[in-house]
Amino acid sequence: MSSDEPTSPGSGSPASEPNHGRRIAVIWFVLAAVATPIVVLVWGPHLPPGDATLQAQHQQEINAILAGIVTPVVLAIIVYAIYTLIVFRDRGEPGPDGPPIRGDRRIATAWIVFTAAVVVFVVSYGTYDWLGPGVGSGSGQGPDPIARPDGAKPLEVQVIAQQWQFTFRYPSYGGLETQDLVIPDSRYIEFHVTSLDVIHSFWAVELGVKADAVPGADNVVFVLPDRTGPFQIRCAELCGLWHGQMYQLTARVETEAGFRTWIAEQEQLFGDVTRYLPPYAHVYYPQPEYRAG
Amino acid sequence: MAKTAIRPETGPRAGWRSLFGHGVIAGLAFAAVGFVVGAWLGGVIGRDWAGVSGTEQNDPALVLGYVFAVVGWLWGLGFFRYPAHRLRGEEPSAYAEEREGEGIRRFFGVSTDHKVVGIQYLVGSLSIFLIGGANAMLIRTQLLSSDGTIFAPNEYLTIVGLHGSLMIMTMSAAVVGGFGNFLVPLMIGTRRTAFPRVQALAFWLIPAAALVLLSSVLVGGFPSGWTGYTPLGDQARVGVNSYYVAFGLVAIALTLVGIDLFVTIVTMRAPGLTWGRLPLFVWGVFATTILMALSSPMLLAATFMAVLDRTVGTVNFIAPMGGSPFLWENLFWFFGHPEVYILALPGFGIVLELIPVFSRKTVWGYRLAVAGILGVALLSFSVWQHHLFVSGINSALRPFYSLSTELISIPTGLIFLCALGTLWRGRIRLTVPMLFCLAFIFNFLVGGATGIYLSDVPSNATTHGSYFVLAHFHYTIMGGLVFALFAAIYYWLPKMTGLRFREGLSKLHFWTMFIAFNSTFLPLFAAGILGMPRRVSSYDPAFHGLNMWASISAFVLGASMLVFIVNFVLSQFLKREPAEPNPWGSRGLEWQLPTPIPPHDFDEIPLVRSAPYEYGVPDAPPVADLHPSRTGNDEVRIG
Amino acid sequence: MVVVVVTALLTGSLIFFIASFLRNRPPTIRVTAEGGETSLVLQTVGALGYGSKPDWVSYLAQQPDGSWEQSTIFELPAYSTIHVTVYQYDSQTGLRNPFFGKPQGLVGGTMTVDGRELSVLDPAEAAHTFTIPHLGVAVPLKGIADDATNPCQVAPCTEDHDHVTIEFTIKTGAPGTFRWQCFVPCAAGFLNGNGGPMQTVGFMDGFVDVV
Repeated sequence: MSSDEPTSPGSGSPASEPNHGRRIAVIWFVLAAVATPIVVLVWGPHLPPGDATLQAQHQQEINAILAGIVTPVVLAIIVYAIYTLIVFRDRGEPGPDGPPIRGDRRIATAWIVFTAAVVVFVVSYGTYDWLGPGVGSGSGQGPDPIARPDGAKPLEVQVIAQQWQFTFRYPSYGGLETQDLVIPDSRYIEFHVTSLDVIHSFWAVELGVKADAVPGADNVVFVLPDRTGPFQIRCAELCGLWHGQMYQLTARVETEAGFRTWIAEQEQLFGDVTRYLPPYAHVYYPQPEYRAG
Repeated sequence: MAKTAIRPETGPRAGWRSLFGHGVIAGLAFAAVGFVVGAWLGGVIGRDWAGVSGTEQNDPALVLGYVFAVVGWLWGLGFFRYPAHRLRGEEPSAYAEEREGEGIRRFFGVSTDHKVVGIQYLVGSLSIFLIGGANAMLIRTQLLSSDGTIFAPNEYLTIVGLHGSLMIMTMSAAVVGGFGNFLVPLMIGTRRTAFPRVQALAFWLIPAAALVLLSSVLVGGFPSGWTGYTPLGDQARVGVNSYYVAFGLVAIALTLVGIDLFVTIVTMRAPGLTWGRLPLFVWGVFATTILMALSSPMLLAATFMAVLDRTVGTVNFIAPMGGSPFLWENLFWFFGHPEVYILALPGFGIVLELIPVFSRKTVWGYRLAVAGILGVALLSFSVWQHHLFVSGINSALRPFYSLSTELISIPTGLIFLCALGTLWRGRIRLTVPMLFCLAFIFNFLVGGATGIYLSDVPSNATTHGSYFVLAHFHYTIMGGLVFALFAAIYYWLPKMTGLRFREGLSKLHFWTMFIAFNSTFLPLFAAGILGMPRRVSSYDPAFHGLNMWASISAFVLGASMLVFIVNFVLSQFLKREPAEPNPWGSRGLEWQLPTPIPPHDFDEIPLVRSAPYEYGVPDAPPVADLHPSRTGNDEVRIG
Repeated sequence: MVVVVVTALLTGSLIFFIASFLRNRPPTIRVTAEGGETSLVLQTVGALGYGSKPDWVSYLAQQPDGSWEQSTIFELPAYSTIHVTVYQYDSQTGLRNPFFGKPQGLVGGTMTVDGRELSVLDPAEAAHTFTIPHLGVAVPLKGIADDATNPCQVAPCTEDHDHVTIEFTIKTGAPGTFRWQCFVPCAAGFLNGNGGPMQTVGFMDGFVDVV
C-alpha cells in the first residue's frame, strides 16, 4: 500500500520502515473481522424497529446491512488515524519536514471506486427493497403508491391526524371512526394517512410505519403484521403545543377473530355518532377552513 | 489602489461624544423609533381586517414594525450616508466610514476594513452562539425528567425554536463572515474584499436578525421550530413573524456575503496565485459562497410568502383554500439542504488548511480535495427531498434523491482521503488546533456514517423525525463545524490579535468539549431509533436513562464553553502574552505578515511564487515575494 | 475590559430574562377526596373580558372555597371517583371532527346535559370539549343557543347568564400527569380556529395531576 516516496534522511526513526500499510491493514482486518459479524449477526436481529411486521423486518434487515458496511469503514479510518498519530508523531527533535507526497493515483482510484461501489449498492438495494419485497418498507408513498401488495385486497384503515390526537376510520365497516387502532394480523393493511389541520406524522413504532399526515393530502402506506401484540403510535412531526404528548399506547394487532370482536364492540360504542360523520373520503376539509371568527 | 479624494468629513468625535455619531447606539435608537412608526402604520392598515380585529394578534403591525426597525437600525449605523452623498453628487472616500485609530469604537459601527468586519462577525457569532447554547441547556434541563414539567409545552417549543434558529443563523456566518472576511483577502494577497460596504451591511443584519428573533419571547414565542413548517406557522400566534422576518434578514445577509466573497476570490487574487495554488481554506469559502448566493434567495422567497400568508391573507400554504403545505417544505428545504453544506464546507476548508501545517507535509491529493469540495457544493442542490421521503411526495422521485444524497459521500470521502493522507509519514504535532481538526474528522465520520441510514428510504422510515436525525446533524454541524471553528480560533487568533492562548486551559477546553460532546449525542442515536420523536417536551419513561445521561453530559459540554470563555478573557484581556508572528511555522501567506497586521495589510501587492503547502519539498521557493518592486520580480512563474 | 464585563452582563441578563419570562404557569386547583369521591367544578367562557387576553376563550375552575380561578391545572386524587360539573357559557361553534360528539371514558357511558342524559351530542352544537386523551376521557360540551338573550361577557360568569350545565363522572387510576385539551376550534382569528388560546396552557389546555 505504501507508494514510492523518498525515504527521509536519518534512518532509524520508525517513519523509514516501509511496512506501515501492511500493519494497518492487519490490525484493521482483525478488528473488522471480529466486529462486523457481531454487529450484523448478533446485534442485527435485535436492531430497531424489530420484526413485528414484514415492513419492519425489511427495515431491520437494511439497518443491519448498513451497519455491516459502516462498521468496517469506520474502523478502517479510526485504526488508520490512531496508527498514524502514534507512529508519525513529532518526537520533538529538530529535523526535516515530512516527505512531499502529493498523492497516489492507485490509492485515489481505489478509494473512489470503492466509495462509488458502496453508494451504488446501498441505493440499489434500498430501492429494490421498498419497490419489491418490502412493499414500501413502511414509508408513506403518497396518494399513488408504486409499491403495492399483490394478492388479496388489503384492509383499508384511514388514520386521521388532528391537533392533538389520532383517530381512525374503517371504510369497510360503514365509515366507523374509532379512538383506538386495532388491526388484524396476517392481512395487508392499507393506511391512508391524512390530517385535518397542520402537518403531523403517523409513526407506528413497532410496525415500522411512518407516514406524514398532510392536510389536503392522502398518504398511503402498506403493512403486513406478522404477529399479534401492542404497538405505540407517536406523532413524528412538530404540530404545535402537544406534539410531544400526541401518542397512543392502546394500539394493537389482534387475531382475525379478535379483530372482528373488537370492531363489533366499536360499532356498538360509536354507532350513534357515525351518522354525524362526513362521508368517507381520502381528504377532508372541515370547517373552519381558514381563519375562524 | 489609489484613494479617491478625501472629503473633509467631520472627523471621528472624541470621548463620550462619539457615542452620538453613527453607530450601534444610534442604530438601536433609530430602530426603536422605526418599530413604533411601523407598528402604528401596520395597525392603521390592518385595522378592519378579519384576522386582526377581534383577535389579540396584529401581524401587519408586528411585521411592519420589524421592517421599519431594521431600516432605522441601518440608518442609525450610517449605511445611508454613502448613497445620500452620492445622490447629492459628492464623492466620499472609501475610507470615510473607517474609524481608524479609534480603538474599540471601530467595532461598533460601519467599517470597511475587512479585518474589523471579520472580528465583528466572530464576536457577534460567538455571543449569539452562547445564547443559543444557553437555550440548549434549558432544553436538556426539561428533558432530565420524562414528563417534562419545568417549562410548559409552548414555552419549551419556543426555546427549541430559538436554539435551532440562533445556531443556524450564527454558524452560517461565523466562519465565512468571520474568518472569511479577515483571512481571505490576506490569503489571496489583496487589501480588501470586492464590496466592503456590502460586507459591512451583511454583518449588521445578523445582530438585527438575532434581536428580532429574541423579541419573539415578548410576543408569545413561536411553536414551529427552526424549520417553520406551515400550516403550523400560519396558525401560530404573532411571535412566529419574528422567526420569519429574522430568517428573511439572514437570507439577505447570506446572499450578500456570498456574492462579495465570490467576486473577491475570482477577481482579486494576487499575481501568481493561480487556482492551483489557492489555499484550501479559500476553496472551502469559495464553494460556500456559491451555495450562499444561490440558495439563500429561496429562503427569502419562502419566508416572504409565509409573512404574506399571515399578514395580507394569501393562502400559499393553506390546503383547503388551494395552497399547499408541500410548497413550504420544498421551498424551505431547497434552501435548507445547501444551508447545511454552507455549515459543513467551511469546516472542511479549515481542516484541510490546518492539517498540512501540523503534519509538516504537503496536502495529499490537492486536486482531489478541490474536486471534493466543489463536488459537495454542486451536489448539495440536488438532494433536498430526502427530508421529505415519508411526507407523501410522489414516491417515484425517491430513488433519484436517495442516489443523489448517497453520491455526496463520494466527494466527502475524497476530502477525508486527502485529510488522512496528509497525516501519512508526516511529523504530526498535536497542538490544540490540530486536536480540534482530528476531532472534526472523528465527529464528521460518525455524522456521515449515520447519514447513510437517513438517505436510504426503508431505513429513513425508521429514523425520520426522531432523535436519530437530531444526533446525526449535531454530529455533523456541531461536531464538525463548531469544532473546526474552535480549531480556527486557536490557530488564527494569535495572528489576528497578536496574543497567545493559555496552553493548559486550551487543552482542558478541548478534552472536556470532545468527551462531553460525544457523551451527549451518542446515546441520542439510540433513543431516536428506538422510538423517541424530535421536539418533544416529554417522552416515554423507557428513554429516561438515555436522556439523563445526555443531559448531564450536555451540562458538562456547557461547562467546557465556560472554560473557553475564561481562556479567552484571560488571554485576550487580562494576561495578554504576545504571540510570535508565526507560532505554527505555517507557509500561509497570511502568516508572512507582521503581527499586528498593519491597517493596509500589504505594503505592496505580493507576487505569489509557490503553493502554500510545500513543506518538505526541496528547494521550494517562499510562498510569495512581499516586495516585488524591490526585487524587481515581476515574472509570474507557475510550476 | 469594560466591554467584556458589559457584554457578559448583557448576555447573562438576556438569558435570565428569557428563562424567567418563559416560566409562568397557571396556579393548580387542588381537589381532595372524601371517601374516594370528590367533585370538580369548571366553567367555560367565550371571552375572558379582562387581563392581557380579554377576547380569548378560557376555562375557569372553582376553588374549594367557591371562588373562580382562571386555571387549567387540576390536582385530583388517585383511585377515586370524580364528579365533574361544567357550566358552559359559550356559544356553539361545532366540532371539527364530529367523532368527538361521542362522550367516552365516563362512568355509566353518558353525560347529563341540563338534566337530560345524553349518549351522543350533535356535533354542530358543541362549544368545547373536555378531553383527557391518556385517560380515555372525552366529553363534548354543548353550547348555548345562538339566540340566547343574556350571554356572559366577562368571566367569571354567574348562573343568571345563559348557560348549559353538563355533569359527568370519571374515575382516576394510578398517579401521573395527564394533559387535557379542548377539541372544538374556537380561537377567533387563527387558522382552523386552532391557534391562540387553543394552544395555551391556562385557557383551553391544561394538565390533570393525579396524585
